[in-house]
Amino acid sequence: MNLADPGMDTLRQWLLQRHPHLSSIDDSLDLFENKLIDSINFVEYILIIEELIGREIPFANDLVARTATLRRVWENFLADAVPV
Amino acid sequence: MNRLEVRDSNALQQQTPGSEKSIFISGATGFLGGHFLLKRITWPGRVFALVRGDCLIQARQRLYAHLAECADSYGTLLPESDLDKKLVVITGDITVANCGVDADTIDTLRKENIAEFWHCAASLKFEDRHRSEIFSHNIGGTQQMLALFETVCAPASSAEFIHISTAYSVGAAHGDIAEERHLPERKFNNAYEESKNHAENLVVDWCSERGLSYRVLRPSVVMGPRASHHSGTTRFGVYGLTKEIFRLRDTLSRLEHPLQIIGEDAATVNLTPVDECVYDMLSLSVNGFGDQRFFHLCNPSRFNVKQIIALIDSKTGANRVQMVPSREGEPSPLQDLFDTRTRFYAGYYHSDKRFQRSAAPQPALNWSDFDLYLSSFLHELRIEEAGGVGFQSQTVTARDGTPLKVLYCGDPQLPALLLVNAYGMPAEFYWPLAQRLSTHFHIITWETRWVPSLAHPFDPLHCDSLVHARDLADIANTLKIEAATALGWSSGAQVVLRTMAEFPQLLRRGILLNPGVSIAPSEQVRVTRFEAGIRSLFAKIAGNYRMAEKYVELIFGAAGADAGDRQLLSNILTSTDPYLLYMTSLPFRTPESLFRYAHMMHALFSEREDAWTGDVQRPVLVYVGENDVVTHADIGRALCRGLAQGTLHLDPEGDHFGHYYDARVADLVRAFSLQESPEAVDEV
Repeated sequence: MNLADPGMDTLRQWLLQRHPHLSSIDDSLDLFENKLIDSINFVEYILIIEELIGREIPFANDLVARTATLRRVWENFLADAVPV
Repeated sequence: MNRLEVRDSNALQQQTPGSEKSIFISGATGFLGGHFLLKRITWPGRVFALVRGDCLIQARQRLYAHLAECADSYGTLLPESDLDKKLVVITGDITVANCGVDADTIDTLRKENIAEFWHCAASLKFEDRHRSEIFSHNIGGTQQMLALFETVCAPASSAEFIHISTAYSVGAAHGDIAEERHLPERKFNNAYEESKNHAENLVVDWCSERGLSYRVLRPSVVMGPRASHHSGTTRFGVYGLTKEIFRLRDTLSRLEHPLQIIGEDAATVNLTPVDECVYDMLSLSVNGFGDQRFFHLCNPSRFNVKQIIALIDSKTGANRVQMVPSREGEPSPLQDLFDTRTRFYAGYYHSDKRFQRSAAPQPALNWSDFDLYLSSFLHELRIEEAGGVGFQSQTVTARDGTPLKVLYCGDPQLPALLLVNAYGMPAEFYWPLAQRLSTHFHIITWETRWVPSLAHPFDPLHCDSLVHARDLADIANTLKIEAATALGWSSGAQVVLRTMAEFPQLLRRGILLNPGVSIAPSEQVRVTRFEAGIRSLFAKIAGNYRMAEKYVELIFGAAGADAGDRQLLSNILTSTDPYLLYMTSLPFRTPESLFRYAHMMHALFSEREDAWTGDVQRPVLVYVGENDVVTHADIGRALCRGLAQGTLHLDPEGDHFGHYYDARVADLVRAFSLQESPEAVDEV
């Protein structure tokens, strides 16, 4: 079941716009393994998350792991963020 | 032994005064072949040199120019008197039947009683992606030389076929390497080694079956002359790796995490100075080969590869490359890219080969020699860099007051050829092509404004191809160039088309190499995955400076920050050639350069969907490499459909960087540019 959250909705909408063949995106779907995120749009993906949480996200070794699914984005970034 | 005690090949000649024999040589315009000929020509006897060229005069000029460079590396002058007297240049090509030598010349050679056929020619390419060409030159070329040898020298003669191979034809073996035949069933580190091994075996079988005599000479990694420690014109082997790290030094020094080369601590490489190698060759020639068939032209010293890498790293100032036994964690995209681009050298990071040698040893090289070689080579590279490689330069002020650095070479009396670079690429990219064409053209190019140099103010709203077209026109007018040919590579093709459309009186012909232009993708016009990616990426970066910052951070800062499709990021840095990585990555070095570059490319892709072809009336040659992963061949086809006088040249072997390393592209450019145009300039 997908989380109901405005930030998550923003990310879902952004992904669906780029992959119109999909009707929905499960929160546990691995976005990298399923080629929904690649090196071209990875930076944009991180920038959107930064906008949602109102702070910069440094590139670190575990960043891919922490953003691989929408649920992990929620757990690692959105859940504790003050809405901006 | 003191380094001044280099063995003197002149002393060899004195051992057999009066001995006079004629020889035939291929590959004299190459490194070892050139140095050998330079010494050999001072000996009695004629030398017949097989040289590629459009005509005898051009082939001879090319050979003399190369020999002059070789001579310069010893601080001596070209022995012109000996060359004029004893050197016979024969135009030909080892890749065609009988090396392209005509029947009359074969008759001449037969009468000359050639004593030795020296086959020094080999492909300069070494990467596996050029496998078919490497094999064609190194095996097919050897086959043609053998056929010519058989035609010229009757089986009954005592003539020798002397095949110059490499000590590394032994492949991935370790330990003691004997001076014996290496059968082809073995593991190789790369296509170059494999081709040289197969060529050796071809020589052995062919000559044995026909009762012809052969010798296989195997130099190790050849360095410049020990007498001067100059590079002596080579950019191969240690020099190639050094040059790559030197060019990348600024990029590497920005990395937070060092690049790691995986190798064994005990790995060694054998380096042999070219003058000692030539001494070995001449010594065998003058003293006779005896019963031995295989000879290692190597040095008694072996150099530790880890130490070599460390020295190169520190002396180039990169200080970001280290050799390690293994890596932890995922490699960064740049590490991946570095590995891919330097894969050729990787085979030498793991083995310790001890090449046996029956001849008297060469004077041993030491670390002091290596240090001198490295210092001398870095000095050469710095001079090249400061001087825009080999171009001369002057400043031309554009109509808006912007100073443009214009680079040129060749005789100003010759027809003008304007080289328009791809956006963001340094003029160095054109130096190999300029060299190949400078005997026929006055070559002019310039450092495109905005990127890679950030010196010129940048206006994101006015950065389309018209600005560059005007720069071209201003340069041509200042230098009083009329009715020139303009050549544009990649995005430079758009500038050529724009110039031809806006200033039709300026150019008589256009040449587009692997064009990256504003032809819109459609069902009929496919674009590569790379182009689709950068169209989307650059649109985003142009709209958001923060994204440029993030991208630079991603490339340079984060080990393992991969997004599941590592290869795509590598492709953004583009380049399929280790020598080109430095140049193509320039726009990605800082957020500002990437932001500007993204704007320029985004503006280009947003221009007229016919890429201005509808306004171009003059003849245009469109060259497309079918292996180009950057721009699709469909773009070239679409351009030709839109051009009034477009000619498409599809090269099944070419890729995006063909003009940089492939002499055939220069041949094509020369032929097209020198064609008479029936339509006069004032008719347009």
